[in-house]
Amino acid sequence: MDRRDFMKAAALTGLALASPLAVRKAKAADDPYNGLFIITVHAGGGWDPTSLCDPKGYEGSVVPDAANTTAMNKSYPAAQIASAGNIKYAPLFDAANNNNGNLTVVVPGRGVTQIPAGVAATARNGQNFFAKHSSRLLVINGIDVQTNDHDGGTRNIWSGKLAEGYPAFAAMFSSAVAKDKPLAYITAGGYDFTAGTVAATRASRTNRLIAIAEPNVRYRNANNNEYYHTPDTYDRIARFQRERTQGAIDAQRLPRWRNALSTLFTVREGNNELLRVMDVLNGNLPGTQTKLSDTLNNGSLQSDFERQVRLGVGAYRAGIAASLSLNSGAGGFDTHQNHDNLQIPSLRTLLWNVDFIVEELNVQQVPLNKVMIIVGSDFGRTPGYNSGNGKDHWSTTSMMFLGGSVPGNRVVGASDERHRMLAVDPGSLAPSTDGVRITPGSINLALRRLTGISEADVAREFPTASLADDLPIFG
Amino acid sequence: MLDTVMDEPAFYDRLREWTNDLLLTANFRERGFNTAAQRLMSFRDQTPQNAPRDYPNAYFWQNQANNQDTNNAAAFGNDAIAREPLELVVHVVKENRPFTEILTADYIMVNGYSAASYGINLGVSPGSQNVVKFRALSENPYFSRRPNQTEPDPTDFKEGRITNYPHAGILSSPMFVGTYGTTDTNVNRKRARFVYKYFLATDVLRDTERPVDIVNVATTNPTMNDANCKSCHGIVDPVAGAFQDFSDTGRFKIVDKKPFEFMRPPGFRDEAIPAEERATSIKWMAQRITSDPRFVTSAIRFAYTGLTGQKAVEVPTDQQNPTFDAQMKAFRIQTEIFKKIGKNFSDNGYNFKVALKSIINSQMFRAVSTYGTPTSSREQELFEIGTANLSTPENLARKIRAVTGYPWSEVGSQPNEIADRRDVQFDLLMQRDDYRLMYGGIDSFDVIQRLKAPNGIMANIAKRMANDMSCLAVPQDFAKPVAQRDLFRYVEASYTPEDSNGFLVAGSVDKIKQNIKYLHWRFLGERLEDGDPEIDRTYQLFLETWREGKALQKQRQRMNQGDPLNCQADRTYYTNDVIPNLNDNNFTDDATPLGQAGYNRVTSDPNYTVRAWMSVTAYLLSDHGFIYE
Repeated sequence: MDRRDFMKAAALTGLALASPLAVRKAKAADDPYNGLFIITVHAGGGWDPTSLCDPKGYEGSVVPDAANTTAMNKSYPAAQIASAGNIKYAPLFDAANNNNGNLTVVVPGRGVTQIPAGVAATARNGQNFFAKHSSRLLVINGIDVQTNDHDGGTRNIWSGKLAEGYPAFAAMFSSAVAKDKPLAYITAGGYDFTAGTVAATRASRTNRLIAIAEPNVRYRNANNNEYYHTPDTYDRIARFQRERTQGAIDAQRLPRWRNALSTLFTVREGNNELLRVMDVLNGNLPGTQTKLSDTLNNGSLQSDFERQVRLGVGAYRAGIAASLSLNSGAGGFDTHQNHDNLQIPSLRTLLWNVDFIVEELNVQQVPLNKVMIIVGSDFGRTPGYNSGNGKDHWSTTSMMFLGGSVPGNRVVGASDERHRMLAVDPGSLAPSTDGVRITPGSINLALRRLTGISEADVAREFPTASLADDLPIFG
Repeated sequence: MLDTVMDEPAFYDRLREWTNDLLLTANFRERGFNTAAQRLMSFRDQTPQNAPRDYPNAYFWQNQANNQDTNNAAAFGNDAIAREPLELVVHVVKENRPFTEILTADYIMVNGYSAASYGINLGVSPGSQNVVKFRALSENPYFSRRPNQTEPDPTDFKEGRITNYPHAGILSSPMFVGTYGTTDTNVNRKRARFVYKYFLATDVLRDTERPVDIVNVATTNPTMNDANCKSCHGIVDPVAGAFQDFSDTGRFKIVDKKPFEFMRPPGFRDEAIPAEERATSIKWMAQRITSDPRFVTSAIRFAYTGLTGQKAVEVPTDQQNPTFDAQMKAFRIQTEIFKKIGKNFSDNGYNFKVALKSIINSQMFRAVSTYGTPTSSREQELFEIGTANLSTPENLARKIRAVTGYPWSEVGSQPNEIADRRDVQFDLLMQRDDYRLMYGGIDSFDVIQRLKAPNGIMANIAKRMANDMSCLAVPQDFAKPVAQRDLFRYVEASYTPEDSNGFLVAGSVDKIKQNIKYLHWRFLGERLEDGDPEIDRTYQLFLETWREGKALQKQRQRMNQGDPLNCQADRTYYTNDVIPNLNDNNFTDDATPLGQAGYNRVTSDPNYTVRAWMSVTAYLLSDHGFIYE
């Protein structure tokens, strides 16, 4: 068994794996990371693309009644499908289509809010999300997720593989480009399986971060910190510990123990870089006199989602993070009952939150071409309604990509009028009966190429779709 | 030895956590104050508007005048309702009952507060004169600061029965059923899925990993008729039917409705639930599940995961994977071992402790190394061997207490504070918003998977903990008389390795090394022989720190600077009593009980040994042997 197989096998059994190579890299790693930053947003539960970026309205002008189980949608007619550039979207997010005053949105931290007539619901600055971002937005429709299972669908969308054991793309990316950074992969939810390729960090709460960034500072004073140990003693403890753990690694023969010790050794070596987070947290929010760390705790942000984004972007600015996984912060999308009333507000909140990410990049002065935002969900929802006016699981879905080098104003793939995925020509990507289906595996493959990690060790260790599925999704 | 361990309260704390890692019913405690009680309170018919509540006293403390900090019922009642299924598992194991009882118990576990919430009359209610059946609060030192010390100890759980309720252990628990909700179209399938997963060692959704092709799903009622769907629904739907009288929120009430025509009838395997057993469908189902051989497998897997932190190996599905054969071999080996353990378990009356002991005594658990350097294929086979389990935050918190004698906590010492330093729930590693989530723990609703490998944040948390605890425990321990010390049983703070002329003090060195040897055992469980290189390594750390400190002291003396000791012990940690100074000329405090007992405050460190021992303590507390199990 070669090293690749060994790594993969270790991952499949849930083992964390840190090789001696990683240890050596960690020791040498001082350069801040300033490459691409990946942010994934997971709409947990299974969203309805037909009410979002693969719009299918009801036929005619009469709103289908509650007993109608075959209508594709009950909230807007097909004739009112909106568009921004090349991107079509459900007209549920426009101020112009919000004239009846009965639309609601779950505004983070403020609960369900009735949207006043004429007010845009999904983005700041008086615009709707699609109008605001279409030039940077790529939509993939008609994705065949191959399952109706929440776990399997989520896994497939984010790892590109229906089978278990493959890392989330965000984890793989961090492993490829910044494995030695202490917060290389920050996760606050969503599918965040790492397969042992990189250490995942939960930093959803920030009030203790400062305390642990400098573990030897007992009390922080403006001019004279009080320490537990003298700096020399603190360094000595670390040195003796390093020697003892290295000795244990050398003596250990059981792979599970050796891997565990190696992982600990690696993450300890990267600890000093946490101080860079301190620099960012103690610095002022650009353009203000307010410390960024204060804004995380003083109520100026409205939700955990916003705090997680602020911290994650801060960690990226500090050069110690390369990816961030988030839950949508928009509540549940698993709308087996009362679909329209529950799904649509959640979609609005999702877009509101994704828009926040873009706004936050502006606030922290990080250009959008350095950050790629990926939005996805477990799967789609059935064409038509069940007896509870809900929609059940459906294995056709969509994904949205924004920023980085993603070609914007672009729609790839399609579904038919009943939201069945259509095969596409592998060259032009136009619908073709003789073509191939777009799968999470083919998207994962294209993403690897777009982000430049196709040849990385970790990408080779976890091959995804075959070359036959290699589609020019991102051009 | 193992029997002794399994009598320890800490063992049952862990068992509660293992169980919750699976069931996640603690979400009713974590989501917010009174969530569990409010759930029970909501159980009533929709119409008429003022329909009677099933549990009108569920939230009985809401009208009490006291605020939540001083109201025992508010603090303890909701918690007891939320953790009721966890307490059932603990009760069954502790009492050596057959493990099948976790699903067949014809009772529910209640403490003195939740009994009142459920309206279960055990002749007891908070505030009544009759408290004979529950221990009094005053008998539990955790709650010494609580008011109304005659009220029931919340950790004392008893069997109780709800009137006209089909008790079937966990299966009928409102918290379990409520955690796994349902809808009119899901019709309890989610509940059935988790019943299969938890109690029948079967993940029905793994079957859907084979691609489902929706384009070809065209029949009506596909879950009954379509090949893509019915393979799973054929086994899920009958079990789902057993929950037909539980509402989406977990309320039990028999409703007069026809069985769902679009689903297979309620039952298990080929057997349908008889019509006359409709009212007790869930009890019927519990009997069938616990009679199924897969129940034994699920119990062994549960024990294995609890002990090792690792999931049992699943049968591999990806035949394209180059390691498929090796994985299949690992799966078969583990399955064989589990079968033997399972037979022993069932032959011994389904005693869960027998299963635990069998796993602990197996090579899978006990192996610490292997001979020679294994080949890569051998490594594949050895993946499941040994533990190397990262301590959970909860377990690390308990270890810190057990080893140092003190918690990692910021609970204050003022008598008017309700939070008690003795109560582990207030420890920093136990609190969700302090370090529990950051150290890889769960909150049972938003974060439900534990981190299995450390990261940079967690490594720093361990470092800070080690520094903080050495700052607390070292001076506190030195302040005690030798006979009462936990850490420094062989040395005094006056024992230095060298004299003022730099010559070795052999007697002191021997004592220091003896104490280091003892600390390695106490902190890490390492039984080292005299002269072991690890003792020498730790001694070297002590010596170099001491020499650095002595040089620093001389330098400060030359510059007329003081030598403050930042980490002091002038009051006892738990009782906040003043520790006397036995070295001054004030003899009044020497006559206090603490003075008479030999306590002597530590507020200075003229020999620099307190700080040298702090370095040793911090080194051991953040060692890999302390962080892993």
